[in-house]
Amino acid sequence: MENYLLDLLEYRDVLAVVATTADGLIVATAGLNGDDAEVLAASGSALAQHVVQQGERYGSVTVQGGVLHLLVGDELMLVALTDPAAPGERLVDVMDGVLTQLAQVIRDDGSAIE
Amino acid sequence: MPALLLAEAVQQAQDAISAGDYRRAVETCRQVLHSYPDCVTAHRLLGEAYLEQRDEAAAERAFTAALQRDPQCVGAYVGLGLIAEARRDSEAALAYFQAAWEIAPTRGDLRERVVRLARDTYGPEGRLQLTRAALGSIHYHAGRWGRAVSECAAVLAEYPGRVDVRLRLAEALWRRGEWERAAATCRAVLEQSPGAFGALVLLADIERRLGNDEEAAKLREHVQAADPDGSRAAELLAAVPDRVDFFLPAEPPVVEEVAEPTVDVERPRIGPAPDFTAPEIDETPATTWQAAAPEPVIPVEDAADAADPFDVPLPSDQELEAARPDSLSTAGYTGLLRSLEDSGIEPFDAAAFGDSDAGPPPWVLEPEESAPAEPEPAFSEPAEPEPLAAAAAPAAEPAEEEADLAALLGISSDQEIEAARPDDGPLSGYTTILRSLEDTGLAPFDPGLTAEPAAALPDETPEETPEPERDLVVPDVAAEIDAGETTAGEVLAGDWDSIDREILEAIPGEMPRGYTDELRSLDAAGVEPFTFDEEEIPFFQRTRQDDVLPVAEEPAVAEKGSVAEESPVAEEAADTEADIESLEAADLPAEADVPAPAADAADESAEAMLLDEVDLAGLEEEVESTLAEVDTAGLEDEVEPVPAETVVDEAPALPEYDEAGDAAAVSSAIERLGVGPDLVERARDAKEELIASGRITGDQPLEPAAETAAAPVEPETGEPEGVDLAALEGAVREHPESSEARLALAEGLVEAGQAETALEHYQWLYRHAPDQSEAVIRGLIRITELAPESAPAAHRLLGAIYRKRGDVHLASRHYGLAVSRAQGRRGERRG
Repeated sequence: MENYLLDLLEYRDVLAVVATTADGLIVATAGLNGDDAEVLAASGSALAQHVVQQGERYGSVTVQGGVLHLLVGDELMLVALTDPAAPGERLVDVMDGVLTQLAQVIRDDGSAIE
Repeated sequence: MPALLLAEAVQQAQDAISAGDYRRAVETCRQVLHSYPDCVTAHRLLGEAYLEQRDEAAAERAFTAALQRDPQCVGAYVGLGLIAEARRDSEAALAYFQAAWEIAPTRGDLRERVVRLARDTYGPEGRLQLTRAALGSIHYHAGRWGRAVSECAAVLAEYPGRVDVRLRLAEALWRRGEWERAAATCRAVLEQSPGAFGALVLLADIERRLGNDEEAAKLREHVQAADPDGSRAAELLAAVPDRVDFFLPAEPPVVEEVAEPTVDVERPRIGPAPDFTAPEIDETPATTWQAAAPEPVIPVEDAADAADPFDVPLPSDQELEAARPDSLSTAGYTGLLRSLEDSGIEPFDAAAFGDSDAGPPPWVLEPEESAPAEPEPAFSEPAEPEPLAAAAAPAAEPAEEEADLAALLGISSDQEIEAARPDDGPLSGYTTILRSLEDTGLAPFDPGLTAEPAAALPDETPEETPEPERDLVVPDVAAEIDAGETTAGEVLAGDWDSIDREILEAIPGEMPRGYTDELRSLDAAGVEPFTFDEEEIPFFQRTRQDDVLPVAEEPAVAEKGSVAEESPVAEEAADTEADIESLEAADLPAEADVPAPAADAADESAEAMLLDEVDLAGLEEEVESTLAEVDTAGLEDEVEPVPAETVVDEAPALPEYDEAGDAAAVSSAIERLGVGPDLVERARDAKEELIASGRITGDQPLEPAAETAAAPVEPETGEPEGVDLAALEGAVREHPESSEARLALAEGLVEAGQAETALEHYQWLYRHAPDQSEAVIRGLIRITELAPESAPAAHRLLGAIYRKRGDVHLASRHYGLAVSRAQGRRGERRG
C-alpha cells in the first residue's frame, strides 16, 4: 500500500502521507516513519473529528511550516502534509484517487457465500 | 444439589465470579467439567475463578485447556496474559495480549493493554502494530473474506505455528465457499490442536455439504463435547443459521450432581463429623477418639465456611459438649477459659459493678461513644480481648467469672465509663471537639453577641450525634428563609471585625489565623460561597459535556493569559493515543478556563483549608448566610442572567458554531501534538532521501501541469519517422541472440505503438541480457507512459528486474502498480 502513497509523494508539494483506519491506526506511510507518522495520524484523527462534524470528507488546516490535508473515506483516511503553497483543490482530487485505490486494495472482489 | 441445565450452571458460575464467590464458581465449573470435560466455557470460567483466587498455576492449566479446545478463546489469552503480568514476564504478557487483540482487534480494552505493555516492555519504541494477523481479523469481521485469506496466509507463511490464524484462515475460506481448501485447513488445525472446536464445526459442516453425513455425524460428537448446548456453534455459524440445527442437542444438556467427590476431597480439612446420636462414642477411650479425630475443634472454626458449599449439618454447642469426652472437656474455647481459671485469672463480670441491667457487653453498645474524650490509663485498651471473650464467655462459662477476668485485665465496666463521662451526656463527633475546647476554658462562639442574634444556628443537642451532611442540607435553610423566619440580612449581620474580637476574647493572647482571615479575603474578592441549588451543578461535579465551552473561545481565553493556552494534559501526553485524548481535552476548558474568581486554584485551596479549619458553628453560619444571600440576590428573579463574575455554577451555554475560531482551535491543537516546523522539515528531508534513492522523482507539480502529466499520452500509431521496423526485425531474425538487435527492435516497436510486441522482446532481454537492464527499464517505463493497456505487464517486468537487483522497495512498488493498473483496467472493462 505504501506504493500508492509514494504516488502522492511524486508531487512536488506533498511532503508526507499517512493512510489510517477510521480510528487512527496506521495502515501505510510514505515520507515519514515512526513517531512522526504516529503524530501525523493522530493529527489526522483530530482533524477528522472537525471535518466529519461538518459533514465533509475533506479538510485542511494550516500549521507552522505547512498544511495538513485530510480526506476521509469509507474505511480509511488519508493524511497529507504539504508545503503551504500546495493547491488544495487539486490535491484533494489526487488524494481521492489514491484513497480509491487503497479502498480497492483492501476490499475483496466479493465472492462471499451469502 | 439437584441437577442443573448446563446453561444455568454456566450462568451460575459467571454470576458467582461477578459476585466474588470464586470458590462457588470453581465448584460449579468442576461440576460442569465432570459432565462435560471438554466444555470450553467451563474451562475458561474455571481459569477466571482460579485467577481471582490467585491460584495462578491452576488458572494457567484451565486457560491452557480452554485454548486447546478453542484456539481463538480471547478470554483464555487474556487470562494467560494476566498471569504472565503477575509473574512480571512482560514479554510473555505482551505476546498473549497481542494474540488476544489480533483475534478481537475491535476491542479497545485489549488495544490499550497492548499499547501499555508494549511501552512498558520496549520503552518509547513500543507501540501497537497493525499486524497482518489483526488485519486478517479486521478483514474477516468486515466481510472481506478474500483479504482475510491473503493476510492469514501471509502470517502462516512466517509463523506456521499460529493455530489461531490458521483457524481464521479456515473460517475465511469457509465463508468464501472454498470447501476443499477450508476442509484441508481445518484438518491442519486439528493436527496442531486436535480439540479445536471451530475447526471441528467447520469441518463437520463442510462434510455435510459434501454429502459425507457419516463423517459429519462423527465430527458433531466432538463438537458437542466441547459445546454441549450448541451455543458457540450457533455463534460461529450465525451467518448460516439453517446449518446450526445440526449441532444443537436433542435435549438440553444437564449437569449431573457431583457433590460427593468434591466433599470427599474437602472433608479431611474439617475432620469427620461425629455421630452424636451414637451412645458408644461417649464410651470411646479418649486416646482412640483423638486418633480418629485429631483436631476436634476445627469443625467449629470452619463451620461458617463449610456450611455453605457443602451443606454439612453442624452440631450445636450443646451437642458438642454432650459428645465431648470428659478428658477432652478442656479443649476449645472453654478450655482456654479453664486454663485461665487455673492460673488464677477471673473472668469479667459486669454485674459485680452494680449494673444488673448490663445486658450485652459494653463493646457491643455504641463503640464510638465508649471512647473517652480524655483518655485515662484505665481506659487505654479496653477492646483487645473482646472477640474471644465475647464469643466464649456467654456460652461456656457463668457470668460471675467475667467480673474477675475483667478486673484482672483492667477492663472498665460500663459504670466506670459512664462515671468518667461528663454529666451532660456522651461525647461524640463534632460536639466532642467543642466540648473539649470548653473544658480547656475556651468559650464557644456565640452568635448572639453579634448584632443579630437571629443569625444563630439551630440548637445542637449534645445528646445527638451530629451529621454534618444534614447540617448542610439546603432545603431546610431555604425553607426557613421562605417561611420568613430569617432574612438574608440577618444571617450574617456581624462584620468580620466583631467576629475577630469575639474570637480574640475567647482565645486571649492568640490572634486566630485561618478563620476570618480567609473568609475576609474571600469576601473582599467577591467570592460567593457555594450554592447547592439543584439546578446548578458545582463545577467539580460537572461532566465534560457540561463543561464544554466554545472552541472558538480558546484563543480569546489565551489572550487573557489564561492557563488554557497550554493544556497541561496535552503537554503531558507522551504518545500518540494520549495525544488524541489530550486533543479532545484541549477542546474543553480546564477548570481554570472558567472566568470566575472561584476558579482560581489558590482560592480553591483556600476554600479547602477553610473547610478544614473553620469550626462547625462558623461553617454552618457561613453556609446559611450564603444561601440567604443567594436567595435574596437571585431566587426571586431566576430569569435574570447571572453576572459573568459568578459563572462558577453557571452551566455554560452551547456555543454557536464559529468556523474560523474552530479551525484555529484545531490548528493550535494539532500543533500541540507536534505538527510544526520541525516535523515539516523532517518530512522534507525524508522525501529528499526518497528522491535520492530513486524511488520517487518528486518533481510533479500539482497545478494543471500535473493533469497534463497524468493524462495518458495518445499512443502513436504507425511507423515513426526514421524507424525501419522491418530492418530491425530482420536483424533479430539474423542474430536472434544479439541483445543489441533485440533492444533496438523493442525500442522501435515502442515508438511505433506496438507495446505488446515490444514487451515480448523486453522479456527476452530480461532473461538473456541482464547487462541491458538499464535500457530495458527505460523502455518499460516508456511503455507505462505510452500504452496504458500494457502498463500492468510493464510494471510486472520492472518489478522482476528490481527484484533481481535486490531492490525490494522498487520491486514491490512496481508489483503494486501492476496490480492496481490491472484492477483499473478490469474496472474499466466492467464499466
